[in-house]
Amino acid sequence: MSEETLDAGLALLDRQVVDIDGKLVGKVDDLELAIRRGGEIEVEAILMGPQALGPRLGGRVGGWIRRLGATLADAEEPIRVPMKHVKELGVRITLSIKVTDIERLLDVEQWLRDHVIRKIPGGRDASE
Amino acid sequence: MKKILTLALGILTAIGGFMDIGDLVTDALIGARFGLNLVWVTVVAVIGITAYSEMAGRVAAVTERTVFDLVRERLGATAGLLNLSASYFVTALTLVAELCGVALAIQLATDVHYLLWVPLVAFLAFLVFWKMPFQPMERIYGVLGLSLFVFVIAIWQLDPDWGRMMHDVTHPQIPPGEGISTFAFYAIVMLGAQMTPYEVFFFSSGVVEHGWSAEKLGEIRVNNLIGYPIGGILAIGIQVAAYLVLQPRGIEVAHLSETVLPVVVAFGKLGLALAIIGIFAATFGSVLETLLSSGYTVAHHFGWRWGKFEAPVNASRFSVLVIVTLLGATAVALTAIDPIKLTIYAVYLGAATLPFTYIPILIVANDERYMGEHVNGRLANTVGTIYVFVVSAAAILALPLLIITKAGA
Amino acid sequence: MRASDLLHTELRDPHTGRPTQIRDLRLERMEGKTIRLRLTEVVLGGGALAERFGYGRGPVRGPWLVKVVLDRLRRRHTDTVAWREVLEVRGEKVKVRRKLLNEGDES
Repeated sequence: MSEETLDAGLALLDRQVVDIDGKLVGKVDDLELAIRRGGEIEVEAILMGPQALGPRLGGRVGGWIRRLGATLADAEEPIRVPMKHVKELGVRITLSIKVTDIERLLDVEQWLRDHVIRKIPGGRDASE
Repeated sequence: MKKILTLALGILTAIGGFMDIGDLVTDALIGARFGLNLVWVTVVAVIGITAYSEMAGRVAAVTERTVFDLVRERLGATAGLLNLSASYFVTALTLVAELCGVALAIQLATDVHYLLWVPLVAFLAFLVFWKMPFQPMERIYGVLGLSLFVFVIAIWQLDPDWGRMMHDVTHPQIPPGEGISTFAFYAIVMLGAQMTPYEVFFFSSGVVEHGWSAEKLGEIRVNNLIGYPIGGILAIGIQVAAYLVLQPRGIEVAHLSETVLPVVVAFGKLGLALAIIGIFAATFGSVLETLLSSGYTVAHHFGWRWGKFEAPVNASRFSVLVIVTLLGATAVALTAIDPIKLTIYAVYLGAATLPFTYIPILIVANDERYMGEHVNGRLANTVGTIYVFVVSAAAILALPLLIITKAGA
Repeated sequence: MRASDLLHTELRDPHTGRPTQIRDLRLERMEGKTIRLRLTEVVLGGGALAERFGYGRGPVRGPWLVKVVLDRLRRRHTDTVAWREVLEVRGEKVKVRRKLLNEGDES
């Protein structure tokens, strides 16, 4: 019976998350907790993005961050990765899915790519 | 044979890259004003940055994580974000100084006012970031930066009293007309000019991006242990040259032209040309380094995709941030802010922020969970702990000294 | 409900009665192939600086002086309690027991 214990703040929060191919996904900005039927509390999902980091930081700065993120992403809720997609915990958190499978994760990245980066001519060639 | 060549090239690039406008201005200014009495600080700073850089490089190679990635992880979201803001700000400020530095170098050569060159330099930097193959570029201006050694050679030409110089270097004292607070203020300036945080961020990012792992530790160490000290010799050379030529004439360094005067006295036009090439190359290299470093700090903190080899379309947030930072820095430079004063402020603030990135790296370097067998040994920890005191003292004294001396007046 | 809703909440330590904070949430990895983490204990108190740097649990060695200083900081009132002593499940919500509101009021 494995009794591995870990502290949420030390081992999970602010850790780098990578996908199954090792690509950078983001940081663990917060954790979603759920109450199970036996009365137990379990970690339900990893939350990422300014809508998660902002409220965690709190205060006025946190509020700005949350609002900025919500406006850019056009969504109030943070990016959510359920624990069932987490393959490995360690120095990095490794997922069992691809970064492209995570809903809304690449939205801002893709928006900027299409509306800013692609508008500027030249640019090093994408090898992908 | 090829390996030695690559290693040599790496070291040369490191030396050339080591110099930036902060070093140039600081060394000349302090040499002119304090003579040889602050050379010991350069020695202290070189040991410090060698140790810090080795640690950050080792941590990056073993953990595949960069400085700001780890700072957030170990300090938490709030402290990490504060740290990030301060570091980004200082690095961006340094970028402004470097932009001005390149423009000033061109002004030295062409006699056309530097402000007219600033937008061109910024555009060139954008082009390199946007399109050009980074590694060859890095090598070119790294090697060209070596022509700054004309300052060192100038010392021989100026035929100094070596015995007396050695004595002055090893017996520092507060020169007449200066107080202990200005002495301390400029000691911190000197420390900040050589122990530049952005360089460590850039180096650790490079280690991760190149995929250098534990096998490359030997090469990383050689790079550091040879590169930085030689850079230190160059820095001391500029101080000595200023001491020999500027101090006796009572010339203070308020413009870039004064920093090259010693070389002109020693070698005339040829010396000037070499100095200008060296300054241009070194500061342009630093424009790119500070620009990318400022982007890296943010990208690593938030976990975005990043990299100098990445095609911009694949790392949009990072690329947009880099462009915005460059535009902002250009705008600030164009306000005609005094570049020399700005440079002093930038290196001073850099010194003040050192503990916040240095201490977390030192702690991670001691954590077996991250480092495995590559944890700090006795030497690294002894040196490491000494420098905790050094950088903390500098940070604590920074604000009071700034006020007391009215920014070094 | 999020971890950040609980972390840093000020409350009274159920053992000592002193004002303290929720510093961290201790989780246990449950049996099974998928990763499931269950809350077991709550870490209270002021030693978090050292814990955060890793000196609390686990193999962090030297530098000697830093370790000594942080050890001293850590020994100041850190307490780990079973989560039910500090948290109460009420339907869908989790409440913090003996939470401090303003100026030491309790909820």
